[in-house]
This record gives sequence, structure tokens and C-alpha cells, in this order.
Amino acid sequence: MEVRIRLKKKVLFLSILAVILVLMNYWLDRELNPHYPLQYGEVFHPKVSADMIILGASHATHGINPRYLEKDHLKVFNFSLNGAGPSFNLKWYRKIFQPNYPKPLYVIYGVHWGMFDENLLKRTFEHDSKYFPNQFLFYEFSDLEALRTLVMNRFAFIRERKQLSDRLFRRHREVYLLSRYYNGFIPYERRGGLDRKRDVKPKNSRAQIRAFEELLDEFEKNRIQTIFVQIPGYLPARHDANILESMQLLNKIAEDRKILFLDYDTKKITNINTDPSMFSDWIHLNEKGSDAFSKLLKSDLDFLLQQRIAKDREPST
Amino acid sequence: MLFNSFSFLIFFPTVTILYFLIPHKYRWFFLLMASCIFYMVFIPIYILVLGLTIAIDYTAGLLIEKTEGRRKKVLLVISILSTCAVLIVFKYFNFFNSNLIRIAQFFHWNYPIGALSLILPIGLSFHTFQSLSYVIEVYRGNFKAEHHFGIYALYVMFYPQLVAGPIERPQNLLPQFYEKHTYDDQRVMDGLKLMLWGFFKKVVIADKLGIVVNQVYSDPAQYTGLPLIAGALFFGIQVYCDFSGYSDIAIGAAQVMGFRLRDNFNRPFHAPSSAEFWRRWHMSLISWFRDYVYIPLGGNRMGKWRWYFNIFFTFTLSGLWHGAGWGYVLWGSLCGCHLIFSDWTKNLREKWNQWVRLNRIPTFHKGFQIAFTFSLFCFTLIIFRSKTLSDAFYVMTHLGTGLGSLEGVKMSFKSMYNLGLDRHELIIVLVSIGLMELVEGVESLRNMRQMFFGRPVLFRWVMYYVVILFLIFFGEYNDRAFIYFQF
Repeated sequence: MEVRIRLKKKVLFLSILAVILVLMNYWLDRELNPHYPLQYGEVFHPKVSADMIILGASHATHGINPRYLEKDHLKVFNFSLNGAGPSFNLKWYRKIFQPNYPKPLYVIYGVHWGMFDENLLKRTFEHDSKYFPNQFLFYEFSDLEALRTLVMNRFAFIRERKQLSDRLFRRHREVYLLSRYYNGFIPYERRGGLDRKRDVKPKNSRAQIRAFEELLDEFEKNRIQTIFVQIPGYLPARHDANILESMQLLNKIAEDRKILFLDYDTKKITNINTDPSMFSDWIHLNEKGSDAFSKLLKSDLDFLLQQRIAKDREPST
Repeated sequence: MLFNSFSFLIFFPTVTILYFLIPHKYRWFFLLMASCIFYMVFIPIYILVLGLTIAIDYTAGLLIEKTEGRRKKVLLVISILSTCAVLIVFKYFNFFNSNLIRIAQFFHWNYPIGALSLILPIGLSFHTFQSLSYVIEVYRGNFKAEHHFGIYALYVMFYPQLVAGPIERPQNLLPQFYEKHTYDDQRVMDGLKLMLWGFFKKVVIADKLGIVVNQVYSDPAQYTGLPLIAGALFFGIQVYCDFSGYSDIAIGAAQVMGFRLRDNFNRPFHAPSSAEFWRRWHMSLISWFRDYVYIPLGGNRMGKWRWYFNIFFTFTLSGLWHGAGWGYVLWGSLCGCHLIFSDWTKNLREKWNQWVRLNRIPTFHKGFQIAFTFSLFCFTLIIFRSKTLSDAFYVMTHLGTGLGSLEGVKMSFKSMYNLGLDRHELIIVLVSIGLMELVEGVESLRNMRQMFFGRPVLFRWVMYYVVILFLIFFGEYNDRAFIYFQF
């Protein structure tokens, strides 16, 4: 009898806990990172079937709005994912994108001086397990650490737990503006941090550089034209000397591979780079900034795209 | 294997379930194998070092039991020296050697011995002391030598307390390996609750405070005033939550299987005096030093000055136990000096209290004593935590810098947010500390093993949910090692 009562109590206790966690899970899932399911939805069930895709990390997710790049029949989708470095993107391209999505004509890679630093871009393939079809879950982990990430990231209350205090204390401040979402792009709300200089010196990881080269090889092999775009950062908050080495490396890669490199952060400096009203923080454009920048990018890309489209149409005419 | 790792999340339930399923006569072997796996996750080859210590003391125990007279004492000394030799080679050799090199350089001598490049086996000081207590107890005739090698090996290697204690005595732990433990729902639940509480202290409080502490002590010269005070106070709380959290997990994990380990902490931050503090802090180590060093030296029975020397020597030795560095030695000596000083000034302080009539408001008096004891402990820990003695000196001499004016206090307060935790995280960690104080305030040490027992269901369940939700949402999960592992 006593055993039964104890068992009932345990079941009740665990049920209440489960209900609390399910509710938290639902709430956090809905509130945070609402764009990932939409981006992955496009990969697995293509609706846009873009000719031009945008890859990179958060600065590209929130910085390049495909709406402004679309022209005539050219469809654009932004597949950049927050915190995604080259090794993530290589794995993502080979295992997720290539088997499921129609081959695009162009890739705009949102390069960044911090893109080879594993401490700055931490997203791993396992982090996105929630969005993968179930068959990925079991054959993609190689060790206990990967298994942990795969399993844990299925649940928003674990994955987004660090965001809870932020949500609780700043509940009225929307971070990602889902209503303005367009083809993978989502504006990022101003969070501050423009008032002081950031002493961030990226440490370039050899593994990340190698992965990036491999990814570029893949594009080359598949005859996808690659364009490097470095999105504007807020200049007054940065020490230029810190990024010199990374920039030399990126320029060399672009030069060796004859890749068009539109660098709006260190070369093609505009008003955007020094206008605080354009930024959500020192490296991310806000909605206003992304609109201005995407228009600027479009005008620069137009000539190149017209050339390419004309060339592609030649055999049929 | 770390208690706060994903591996342990799989290891613990697997081992516990199998432990209850396996017939009693094979359980010792199963636990021994599980403990080997637990230990070998760190550096597998070091299992041989542990095996050597076990073999030495097992043999010594049997020989000491069979021998009488002077030969018995010789065997004890040989056993202690051989066990300590392992500790000296791995932990203290480079420390003593580097000091000898400096002396040789000073006198322009030719000193040919270089440093050893060895990684310290995890928890070496803990299981060495546990092994020593076994041999000494057998020598004293308080405990019969263990004839079963496997059971003795398990006594040293029992995984919950293998790497950071509590440092067990043979009388308490060894007989428990012969007992048949059945599944007792209440006991298992109490053990799990204690583990949960330990995890709360470790991942919600200690590891969060660790972010601030690491930031401050990585380059203390960058800070003055409040950040240094916060670094010092937070480190005191961090060490307590880290180590007592480990002890709670260890005691709870053992309790789930039916083993009763010794208590290691009894709310030391509620102690009104240093003497009381050291009766409540790391009880298994302090009692080890009391029984095997302080009392054999004569304790308090050989006159006042000899008593003071015994206190000073025992605490200096305990400092050296914590680490091979002058900072640790100095920290131990300081703690000893404070105990001596507080005894020396006891009468004077009582007269002072009467004069200022502090004894008429006992609650305030006690609160003041508790706050003073805690602050003093945190102050001495500055030496313990600082990378160099000059860093420690800087921190100690700049605690009040810039706090002379309101503007300075404001500036100092603002710089608190540059220590790795934002305002909300700081609030949450302070709330967590408050929660810990609340629970430890309402539950006596005895009750911590049956946390909230006899209290209303609603209160208990709310507390359980709060602890679980804090663990999930506000814990640091970077597999950060426990501080006391390095000892």
C-alpha cells in the first residue's frame, strides 16, 4: 500500500515537472530563434528554390536581405546561421544542403575577419539536430560529446536555457523581428555595446581555414560562382590592427581563387560603417542598416549578375 | 570522470541499477571495476600509481597486524614513507627541488637535478591520506587488517569519494562493503535529493561565481575596490559550494547504494569563531590532521606555547597538503596564527564586549561574529587563490582603494558588470546564494541527509522544483572540474 502511494507521488511529481518543462519548451521555442525552422524548412522542402544563396554567420543572417537582391527571375535565399563557421557550413553543405536542394548558380559567402576563430563562431552540426530528419539523429554522432549535443539540442528548454534570464528581465524587448522575416533574413534588434572599443583579436584556426578551402572547392566542383561579401561593422568600436592578419588571409584566398571580394568593412567604407543608428551591436546591422546595405550590395552586384545571366541564357537563344 | 559531466549522467544510474541487480557476493568486484573506470577516465595509466599505493598499504596492514614491538613501528614507518613517497614524487618534488635550485644559485653551487614533468594524479592527496589512516588504525589496534585484497582496494577506490573525499576511516567504510544493501526507496530518494543539492551548489553557484573570480584573479592589477572585494568574497563562497557540493554528491551517490560516508561540512559560514569554523569545514581532513598529527604532537596537553606550536604546525602542514607552493603554506600558517591569536586575545575581547555592551544584544553579537569569521576566512583565501604572492599582496592592499568617495563607490560598482556576469546573472547568482543560505539555515546537518523531511508537502515540492529549475536554467555546464581535484 505504502509502495503504491510512494509511486503515485513520484508519478505526480514528475508529471508536474514534465508539464512545467513542456510549457517552458513551447514558450522558448516560439520566442527565440524563430528563423531556424523556416531556413531548414526551405532546405528540406524547397519553395523558393533559390538561384543565389547566402551563407555565413549571424552578421549575414541579419545583414543581407534577399528581398533587395532579387531581380527578374533571380531568386535569393539567406541560409546563414548564427555562429556558423566554415567547418559547420562545409558539413551543412555536404550533408544537408547538397542532397536536398536544387543547385544554385551563386553563393554569396558573408565572410568576416572573425570567421576562422572557433571561440567566436561556435555553432556545431549537432546544435541543429532539432531541425534534421530523424535519420540524422543516430548516425551523425561520433563521440559522447556529439551525442550529448545532439540529444540536448532537441529540447528548447535546454538549448535556449541561457536566454531565460534575458527573456524574464527584458520581456518586452523583441530580439528577432519575425514579422519582417524574408527568405532566411531576419532583422536583429539593437542591443547596445557601441559605446566602447572592443579589444577582440581573432585566433585563426587551421581546421577552420582548411574547411573553408574545402567548401570553396565544393562550390568550384559544382560550378557555383562564389562571391565574398564582408558586411559593414561599426568602425569606431574596432581596433584595426587586431583584424589585419585575418584580412590578409581572406584577401589571399580570394586572390588565389579569383573570387570577387566585396569588402564593405575595410575597403568599401561608406556612411553605414560609422552611423550608430545602423547597428544593433558593433558587428551586427539592424533592420535599417541591413536595408541600406542590401540596397548598396544589390547595385554593386547588378553588373556582375547581368553578365552572368546573359552568359547562361546564350545557348538557348 | 567529473560528477557534473554527461558521462556521469550515464555512469551513475547504470552502475546503481546494476549494483542492485547483481548478487551480493559479486558486488564488491562490480563496484571495484566501476571505480576503476571512473578513475581511468582522467589519465588511465595512473591506475598503476593507485594500485601501487593499495598494494603497499594492504601488505603493510597484514604485516603490522602479525608483528609486535619495535618491528611493528619500523613497518609502520616504512609503509608511511613508501605511501608518502608517491605523493612527494608527484606533488612535492618540483616544489622542493625548485627551492633547492634557488638556494644553490644563491650560493653558486652546482645543482644537477632538474624538474620532473609529471601530471598530478587526480585526488592523490585524498586517497593517500585514506590509505595512511588505514595503516595507522591497524597499527594502533583500532582496526583489524583487511585480508580481502579486493575489498581493501575498494576501500581506497570507492568511486564516490575516490578523487575528492570525504577522507574515510577504515572503521566506517570497510565493514560496509560486507553489508548486504537492499533497495530502500526512502534512502534512495534522500540520496538523490542530496546529490541534487550538491549539483545546485556546484553548477548554479560555484561555477557562476568562478567566472567572476577567474576574471579578477587573472589580472588583479586591473581592479581596485569593489571588484577585488567581490573576488575575495565570491571565492570563499565558490570554494565552499564547489567542495561541499562535491561532498554532497559523493555522500548522496553512496547513500543511494546503501553506503554511509562521513559528513564533510556543517554550515561553516554559520560559525561564530575560527575555532568553530575549522570544526565545520572539511571535517574529514581536519579530523585526520587532528587524530594523526595534532594529538600525536601532544595536542593541548603540553603547555600553552607547545599547544600553540602544535596548532601552527598542523595548519601549516594542512596548507602544504592543499598545494605545493609557498602561497598554500602561508595560507595554512595564517589560519593557524589566527586561531592562536584568537585564543590569546580571548579574555581581552570578552572584556571589550562587556565594555561596549555587545553581550547585551546576543543576536547582533553573534551576527557580527559570523560576519567577521567569514570575512577573515575570505581574506586569508586571497593568498590561496592568487597566482603569485605579489598578486595576493596587491589584492590585500587595494581592497579599499577608490571607495573613499561616493563617486568612487559608483565607479567601482559599475566595474562589477565587467567581470563576466551581467546584471541579471549577478542577481540570479545572489538569489541562489540566498536560497542556499535559507535551506542551510533551516536544515541542520543531520537533516541534510533527509532534506526537508517532515516538512509540509507543498513546501518540499516547491523547493525541489525551484532547485531543479535553477539547475536547468541557470547552471553552468562547461564540465568545469571541481577545485579540490587538484589536491
